[in-house]
Amino acid sequence: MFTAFASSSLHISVKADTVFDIAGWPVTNANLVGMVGLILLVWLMFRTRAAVLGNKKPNFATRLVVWCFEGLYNTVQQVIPDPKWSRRVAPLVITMFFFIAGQYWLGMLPIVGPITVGHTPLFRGQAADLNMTFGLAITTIVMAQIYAARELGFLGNIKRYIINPLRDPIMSFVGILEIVAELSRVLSLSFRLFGNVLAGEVLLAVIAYLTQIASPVVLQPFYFFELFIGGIQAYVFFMLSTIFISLGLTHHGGDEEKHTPEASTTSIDARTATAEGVTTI
Amino acid sequence: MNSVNYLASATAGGSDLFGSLGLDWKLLVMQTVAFILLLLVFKKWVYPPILAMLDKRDADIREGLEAATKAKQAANDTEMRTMELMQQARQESRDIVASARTEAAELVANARQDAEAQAERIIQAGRQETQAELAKAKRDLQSEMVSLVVEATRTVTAETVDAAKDKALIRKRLDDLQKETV
Repeated sequence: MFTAFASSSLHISVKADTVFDIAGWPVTNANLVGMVGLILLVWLMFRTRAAVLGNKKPNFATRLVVWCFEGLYNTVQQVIPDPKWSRRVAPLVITMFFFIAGQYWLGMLPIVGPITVGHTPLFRGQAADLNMTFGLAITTIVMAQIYAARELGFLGNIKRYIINPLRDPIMSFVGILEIVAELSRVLSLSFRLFGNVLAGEVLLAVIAYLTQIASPVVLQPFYFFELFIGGIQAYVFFMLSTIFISLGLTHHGGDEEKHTPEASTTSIDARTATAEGVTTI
Repeated sequence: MNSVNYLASATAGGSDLFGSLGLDWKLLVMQTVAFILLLLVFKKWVYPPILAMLDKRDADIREGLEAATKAKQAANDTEMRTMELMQQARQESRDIVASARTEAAELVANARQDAEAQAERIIQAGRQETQAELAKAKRDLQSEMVSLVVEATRTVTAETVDAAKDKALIRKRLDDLQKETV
């Protein structure tokens, strides 16, 4: 039933395969790895919490988590200067970073892919499942709208997109473009991460298939490369999410509205440019 | 064996792009809910202590920097105060030395004046004593001379007229001689 480490055949599937159902809810091979990843992440974060509270001795992993958390939190504070909002937004985007990085790296384990049930791999990287990346992207955009509505008010947020064309036809068109941009952000966020993870897994599978018995040696640089890419992709997702949320917070208000209109426009343009720069990665 | 099922399921529906990519609303909801639960758990129990620790560390760093700034300011103030005190002390020492020199000069001048006055007094006293002794010697000499003249006259004349009268005559004569010499 199980074919372990079957590098003699190359199975590449874009979508996660269903392994079994629970009350009509499908459980895919990506979900199996995802659950393991969730458990490990929860354990690591609570271990870090215990270390921070002084209940347990800090170790390399907990220090690494705290170091990453501090760096990411500082980045959020730089992108969203308002301390109230940066503190409110940080948990969401930082959780996304740890979740994506953990799932990406877990998908690189040697057990992911080769072990099959029939022709279906038993494990698949959770980040290589479009459902996960799409869910994260939707969460980001929905939360960006919620935050924007809380900051600008419901109507204030709506006015970002719907502007009377008789009063300002150009901005009315820009509003329509903003709606399209919001929808495209969901697609770009989700498909970028999904594509990168899938490409990484395909790369590892192809190299393993081509090198056969020499794959344990040949794959090492590719593993290091994928480790690096995993961190980069998690950071890109984190950064883009932060920027998209910050755009909603400062579009027509926020702290920068209190400054000159030129300064506000410049800041938004700079962040949009940063988002576009990150998008190209 | 080498079956490559690349995008195998993408061709099934053709029009259902998201379905062919594996997008399933049940899985989507399940994974989104799982992530939101994870977020809530972290937000409730994990992040607050980490943020509190970071805040405390930032506060400690800020306090340290403020303390360092204050210490630096205090050191600068102390240095300035020390310099002022040093300058003041130098000025006072210069004043003390100057006044000491002045007082010393006055003392020396006074001492010189005292010494000169005392020397003058000694010289004057010596002169007076010398003159007194000279006068006394003159008187003694005059008296001796009178006696000698009386004695010589008596010897020559072998007769004493009157000693007191002789002495008076001789003394008168000597006084006349003295006046003549003066």
